[in-house]
Amino acid sequence: MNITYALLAGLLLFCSRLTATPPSTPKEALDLLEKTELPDSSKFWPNVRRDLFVGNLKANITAPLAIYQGSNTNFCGYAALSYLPLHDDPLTYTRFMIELFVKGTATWGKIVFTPSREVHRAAGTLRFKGILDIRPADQMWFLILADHFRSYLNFFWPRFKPGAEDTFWAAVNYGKFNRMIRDLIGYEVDATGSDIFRPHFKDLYGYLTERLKTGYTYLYVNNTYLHKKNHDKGRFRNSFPTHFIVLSSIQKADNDPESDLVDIVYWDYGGRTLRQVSLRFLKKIIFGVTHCGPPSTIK
Amino acid sequence: MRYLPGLCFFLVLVQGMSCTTINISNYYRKNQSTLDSIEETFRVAYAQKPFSIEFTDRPFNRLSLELITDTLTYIYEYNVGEPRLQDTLLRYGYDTAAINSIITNMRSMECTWVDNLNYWTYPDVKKHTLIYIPL
Repeated sequence: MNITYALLAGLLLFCSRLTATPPSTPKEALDLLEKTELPDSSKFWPNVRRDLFVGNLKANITAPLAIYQGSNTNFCGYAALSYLPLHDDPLTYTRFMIELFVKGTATWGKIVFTPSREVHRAAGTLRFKGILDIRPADQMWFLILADHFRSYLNFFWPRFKPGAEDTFWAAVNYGKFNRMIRDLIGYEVDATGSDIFRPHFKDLYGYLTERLKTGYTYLYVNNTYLHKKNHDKGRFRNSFPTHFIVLSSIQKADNDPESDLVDIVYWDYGGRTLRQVSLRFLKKIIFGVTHCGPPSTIK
Repeated sequence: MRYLPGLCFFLVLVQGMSCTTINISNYYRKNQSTLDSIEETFRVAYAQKPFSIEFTDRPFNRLSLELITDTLTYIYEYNVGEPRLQDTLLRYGYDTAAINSIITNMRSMECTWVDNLNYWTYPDVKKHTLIYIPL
């Protein structure tokens, strides 16, 4: 009898890890936001208005795909990272943001965020960034992440100055991105790639298809090829990865197994995109593949 | 010290070769009607169904079409004049005449991109839009 119970308990534990039920739901996050009384303004964030802050959090909880890094900023790594808590644990995210708004500092897991005075002043003032203009909570979130997590790319830009969101102050390299997932979200990370050299994939299509079966799959890509025009003369700029996207699906075009063309669906810039590309092109732009998820749920 | 004039000449030469500048005011005055036509046609067509167009190569033979829907953005690449482009526009319900006219005018002006940018002003939190046409 005891063995049967032990087996059942083991099976339940195994299944719960496989299905990986999110730790919280959007409803729980909205309830928390609803019942928390926030001050009209925060002395720590002089340029953040309460109504816009609350509206921004509600929008992120109800439509997590819409989080937008802003035009021409270097916040794409932080926006891509946000995909995880907004989908899996919106309650922790909301609690953290409320604490940040009220106290000026906040703790996520073991990490204590103590933003600099410049960051406190800057949040809510970023302009001409598309919808990020009216998203003060996102401005706070991106700025404190950039302020806290540093790497060799940020070495010559140690402190925030006006306009720093567009510079190397906010840049995210591959190692830093994976570290943020591990340290902040606590997910297991299986990463292949680097900032300079492209990883070799014998069968890229098979590799990505396998990764997509569990957890989340991020691609670290050269955005110059993916998004912008190929008119730039500088080969140097075109040679390095600059962007993180969340891959949702990959399928051979027209379901032809021999085809080199694939339809990929990915998330970036506040929405999902379907794009048809050749595998050759995809190999050329991918500098890293990060597969992550709650511990023991990814293979 | 004796190499200084040579060095200066070299730097001036490199600077001269590295970029071409356009006097944008003169350019606009010269091509005002076509540029205004691109802007106006794009404004009307975008209001019906959002999209953007960019040319991805220097000879302006290859273009990328971004079709924006509520749930998904579709990005396809075509050669100019390819029948597949017209099929796609019809399938997604776009105004083919307007988009073809924009493409023709962009090519003649060597405009690389046409897109819509939203921005907000404070304290009224009012939304504004801006059509940008880079060269």
